[in-house]
Amino acid sequence: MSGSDTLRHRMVSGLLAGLLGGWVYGSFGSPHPWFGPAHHLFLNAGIGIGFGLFLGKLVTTAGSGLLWGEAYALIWWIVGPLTFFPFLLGNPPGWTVEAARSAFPMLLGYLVGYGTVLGLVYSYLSALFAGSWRARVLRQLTADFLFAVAIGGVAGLVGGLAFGAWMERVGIFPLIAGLVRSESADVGRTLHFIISVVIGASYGVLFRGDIQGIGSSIAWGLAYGFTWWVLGPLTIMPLWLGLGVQWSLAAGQAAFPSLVGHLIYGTLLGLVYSAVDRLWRVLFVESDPLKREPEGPGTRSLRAVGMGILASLAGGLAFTVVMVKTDALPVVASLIGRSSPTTGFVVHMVISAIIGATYGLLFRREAYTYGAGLAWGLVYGLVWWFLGPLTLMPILLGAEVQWSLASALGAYPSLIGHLAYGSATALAYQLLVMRYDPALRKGSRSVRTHLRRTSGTPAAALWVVVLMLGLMLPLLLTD
Amino acid sequence: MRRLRASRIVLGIIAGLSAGLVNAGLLAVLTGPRAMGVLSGAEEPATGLVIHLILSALSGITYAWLFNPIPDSDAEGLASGLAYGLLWWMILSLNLIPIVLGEGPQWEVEAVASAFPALVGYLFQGAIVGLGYPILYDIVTHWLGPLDEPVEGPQPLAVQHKIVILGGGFAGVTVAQHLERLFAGDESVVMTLISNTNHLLFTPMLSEVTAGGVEAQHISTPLRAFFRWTQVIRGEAKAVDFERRVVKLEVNGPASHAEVSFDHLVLGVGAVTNFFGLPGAEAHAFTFKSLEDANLLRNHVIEMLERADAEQDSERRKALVTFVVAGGGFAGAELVGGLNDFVRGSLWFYPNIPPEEVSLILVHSGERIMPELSFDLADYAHERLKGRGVAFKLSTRLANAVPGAVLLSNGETIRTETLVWTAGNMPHPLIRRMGLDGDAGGAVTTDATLRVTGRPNVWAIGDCAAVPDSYTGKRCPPTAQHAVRQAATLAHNIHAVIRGRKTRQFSYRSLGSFAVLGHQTACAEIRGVKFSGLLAWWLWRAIYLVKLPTLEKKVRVTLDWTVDLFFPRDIVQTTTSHRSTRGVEALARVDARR
Ligand SMILES: Cc1cc2nc3c(=O)[nH]c(=O)nc-3n(C[C@H](O)[C@H](O)[C@H](O)COP(=O)(O)OP(=O)(O)OC[C@H]3O[C@@H](n4cnc5c(N)ncnc54)[C@H](O)[C@@H]3O)c2cc1C
Repeated sequence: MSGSDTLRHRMVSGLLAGLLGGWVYGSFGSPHPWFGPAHHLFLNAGIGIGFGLFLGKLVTTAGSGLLWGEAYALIWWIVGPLTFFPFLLGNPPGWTVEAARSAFPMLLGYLVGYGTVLGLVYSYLSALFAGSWRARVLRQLTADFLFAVAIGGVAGLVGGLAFGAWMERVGIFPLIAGLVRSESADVGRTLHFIISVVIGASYGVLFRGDIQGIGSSIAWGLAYGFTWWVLGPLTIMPLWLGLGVQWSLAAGQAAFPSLVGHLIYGTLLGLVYSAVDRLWRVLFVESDPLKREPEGPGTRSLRAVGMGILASLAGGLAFTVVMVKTDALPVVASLIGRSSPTTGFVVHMVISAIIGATYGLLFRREAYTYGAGLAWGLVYGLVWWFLGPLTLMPILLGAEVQWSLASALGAYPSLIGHLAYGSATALAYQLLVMRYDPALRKGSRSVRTHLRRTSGTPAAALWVVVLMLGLMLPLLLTD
Repeated sequence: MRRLRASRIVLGIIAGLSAGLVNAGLLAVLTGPRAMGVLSGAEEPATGLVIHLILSALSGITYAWLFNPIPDSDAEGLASGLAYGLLWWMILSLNLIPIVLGEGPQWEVEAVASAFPALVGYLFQGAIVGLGYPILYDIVTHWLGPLDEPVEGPQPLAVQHKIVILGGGFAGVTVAQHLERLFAGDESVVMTLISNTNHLLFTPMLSEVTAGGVEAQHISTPLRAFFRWTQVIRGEAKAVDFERRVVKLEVNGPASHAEVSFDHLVLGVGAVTNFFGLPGAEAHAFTFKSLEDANLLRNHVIEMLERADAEQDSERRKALVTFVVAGGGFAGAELVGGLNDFVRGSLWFYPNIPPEEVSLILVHSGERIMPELSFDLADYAHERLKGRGVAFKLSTRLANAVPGAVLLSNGETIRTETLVWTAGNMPHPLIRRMGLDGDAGGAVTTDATLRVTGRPNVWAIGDCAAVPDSYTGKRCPPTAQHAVRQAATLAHNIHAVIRGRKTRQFSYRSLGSFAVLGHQTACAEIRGVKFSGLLAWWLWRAIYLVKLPTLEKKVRVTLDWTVDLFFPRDIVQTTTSHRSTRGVEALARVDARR
């Protein structure tokens, strides 16, 4: 196939997907207040073609289509509603948090229309044009595919258990049963688990080509959790119940606890999926002497753990700054029933070493540049904000999880702390890795393939989606 | 390389500055004159702009450092730039600027929300850097040719220093490991290790192999597993030509020769068994230095048990289950302790051997065994071994050995089919052949920097070298403990000489010594503190497990030890062809000589 052919295919796929995404956005969301229908058509067509031209090459799987779509939507949200639309129309500046808040419905609309729909539809259309559709369908019906569906389902069930525990406590199951016109908690619970399993299986289908390490898979899961928070309780469910989409700021605020639930679900989903996948590989693929790496997984992993612990010193100390400032050390000390700040510091450093060790283990070969390492570190820091102060810490202290918007906002400094922790740890880890293998520093290719390359996977899109939403959503949802 | 780094920095500055300008411009349009204050914290707009631009240039340089090699596509550049923008915003707007303004880090949600305009600004700025830097980079490489060194294809190697290490024991391997670390990434230095075994043997656990507690392979690590850059040659060094600076080798048997040239030569060929001219011993005794030795001995001992079990004649049976170890140093005492455990522990399988017929005898020329240990510990060892059934012939030498018997200096004759010789070592004869300055025992003498006397580019350590001990003033004892410390100093010194830095003198005070005497019994003297019994045994296991090279082997040995706790000793014979009885063997040798 000639180059211009592929270019044309990309433009056409982009155009069609853009029109469809724009239609979804236009029919449910608040339309752009400044444009008429004709403008809209042009805008949607342009957005779609732009996607095809700029990002089409990177969309190799449905999963990458989804993530690049969402990143693309976020970028447009900032460029359009926050910057140029008000600017063009001579309206007051859009870079304030108030303006961003009032553009919240558009954010969700963009994520659904110009993100999920555009990206997914584009990925299938371009495959269709490229003629690989049938090949893809056939290929999909292989053992590989079924395997991905199966472990995806299992992983979804595990995530669903964690999310379900919270749902049980706040009595949400009868509400879910409402989807099938019932009020019984049992029906709701069953439905919840069915949905969890189906979403888990779809995770396997979407991302199985991109998932390489456990670390990135957790991040994928996190992004997927975000996606389903927007798609599920705010879009599909209310539509199903005939309420119309719930993209307002108030609805977003009310659904915040469910956001945390979705994120925990996604984290577990990504973790379990890739852990089973890895285990399978280690046992049945990499155990083949012809494919085995010179050092077995045992040596590699332990070294990664050691380096992670060492690296966590940097992160742990960076975080201590905010702990001291917010008087959080005594709270940490209370984890082991003490109250002195010194004990708190020690406990904090131990926790930070454990998390550093897991960073080393999970993100062992995700990054081959310092920058990529930093980005993964930020993502991992974010994961631990949801997992730590909002979830595990209260549970360990014998209280309920703290998923309410108010407690999340109260814990916002700790979010910044976690991000600082993650980036410092990851950077230090990367320095150690490069030091251990000086040939890496020189970027020699043979060695670089030794590390997994995250390019070719939508990792960069993932960073944008996860980090921007993670950092911004709490800001937008404040009153 | 330098041009490359400089151009990266320049490109980074250009990308950073342009992105900073766009950010400042947009922010100024959208939020008015306050913008510069938001970005830099400065009151004065002009000062603010300058500070902001300096920071932006910095952010461009950092981006260039962080994302090297550059992302594969513009979109990935853009996306990574956005992530980078977020980080930069966190660093500047939430931390540095408020700290400089004396407000401290601003991490509360309200404060962060009020920094929102800067967030959007930095997202733009990051996006432009992420998009712009790779594009600039591409343009520049298009005009100026590739900035990176060619990655593929053979590169001309400018080798300036060839370091050759003879011997793959503790000394040689440790030197090479340190050198790899010191010269990491320097392609002008090439290291070659030559050894006639393809593995490093962890000698302290050798007696456990004979005793069947640990598998033979588990205490040795392939030399090739240690190194990343060092070339390993399995071959036997035969001579060194110091004029031409080459080592002459036999690679695949006596017929094939090779030469390896060197700029620096490290001698670490270790020691060989010394029979002190006792021809009988040389012909009939087992030696105990290599993996092969341990395996042969083990198979032979099992063979003796099998034969004894089938033997009707009590005298002959006694001879079969009499085991003599000559030499009561560490190696001999450890071996006799292990053998004793193995033989007595396996009798359960051999109902026809009466336990009282079994004897293990340690012949030692001194008055007490293990002269390296202090009196009461040696005494303890003696008592424990005796208690477990070992007999001692002290102040006695081996006078001769013939098939089926050994003769002692006190005139006694012991009927036995098994004699193990651990009574003497001497530096490898290759050292003497080289004609270097040596001490009376044949070890090559070195100065305190481990240089061979009179040869500036030849170095020696380990059992083959007489290295002055700065604490005792005598020669360092031939132990692995000293060999690895010497190796570290030696590597440092070679590195220093090549780099034109200062060399270091070797100085190490022995930590002490350990001997394991069989089941859960050991004695130790560490810096004068004495341990014995179970505690010493645990210490022994813990310390040597840590020292055993590679994690894999540590795990394997731990498993072996664990299995050994719960199951009987393994008496599988892995070979029956060698030395099944010495009589037969001796005849064969006599035939061969003719
Ligand atoms: C049974 C036993 C138990 C021991 N226990 C202890 C202990 O508990 N603690 C302790 O500190 N020490 C112990 N030692 C002593 C320790 O093993 C030695 O001090 C140490 O091995 C010396 O290291 P080296 O590198 O100098 O020599 P070696 O380890 O002997 O290595 C010499 C190397 O050179 C190679 N080589 C020899 N000739 C040539 C040639 N011509 N060409 C190429 N290669 C050649 C050999 O194959 C070998 O790999 C023990 C020794 C024995 C035998």
